[in-house]
Amino acid sequence: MKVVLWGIAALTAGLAATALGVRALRVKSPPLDEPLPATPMQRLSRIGLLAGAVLSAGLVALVLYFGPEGTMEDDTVRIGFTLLLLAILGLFGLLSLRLSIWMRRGDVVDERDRAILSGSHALRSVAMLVTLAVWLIGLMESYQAEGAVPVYWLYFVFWSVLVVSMLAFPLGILFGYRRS
Amino acid sequence: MPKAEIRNRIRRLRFDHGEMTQQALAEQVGCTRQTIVLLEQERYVPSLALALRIARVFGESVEGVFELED
Repeated sequence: MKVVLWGIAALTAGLAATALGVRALRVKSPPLDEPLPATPMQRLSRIGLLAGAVLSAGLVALVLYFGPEGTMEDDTVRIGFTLLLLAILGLFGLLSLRLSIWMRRGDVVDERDRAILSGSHALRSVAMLVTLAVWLIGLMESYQAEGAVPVYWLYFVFWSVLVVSMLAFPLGILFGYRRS
Repeated sequence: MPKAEIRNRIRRLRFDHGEMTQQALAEQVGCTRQTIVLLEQERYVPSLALALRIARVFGESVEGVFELED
């Protein structure tokens, strides 16, 4: 299997681990008597997930179009790739800042939101671990005969774990609201 | 969301207190309206601190608002 496919498998596995983790913990219950109003944290997570998914799709499309070596060797593509990565980091930095301000204020995020947030952090760790595991299996399987891995793959391993971490965070929160 | 084993009279008490809205109660006790909705439908068991704050808003004891189901 081509290494880039292993990369896609790693990303998918990380996000699937988040979804499966929540699904396994989910308890079936009768429908609510009235629709639930969205909380501020829920709305923020939806925005974060949507924007993060669009930017991540851009990253994946760039790598698929130019190939991993092309992305690293062509300066313009590499800069574009890095800018997209920085945009994702910036976006989630802003979301985290907003959340931490709410947490300090104490009147926007309540005890239930905090419990959901903790669950999301735990799921994010699992998702990152799964992504890393699939990546390492893929690199091992692909380059075992050569005995060496091209160094640019390390960069892709890093950003994919980062992207999964960024997406699993709001995803875990949104699943958490559905579950709790 | 399993049904909690703790019953409460929050909805009744809200109406007895000038038809207080869920939002107004949420603001007074420092939680989201979603939490109040889930509390009223007995899908969420509050922390002791939140239970005490709710009871204080209605001028009741915790037992006056919440009841452990046998």
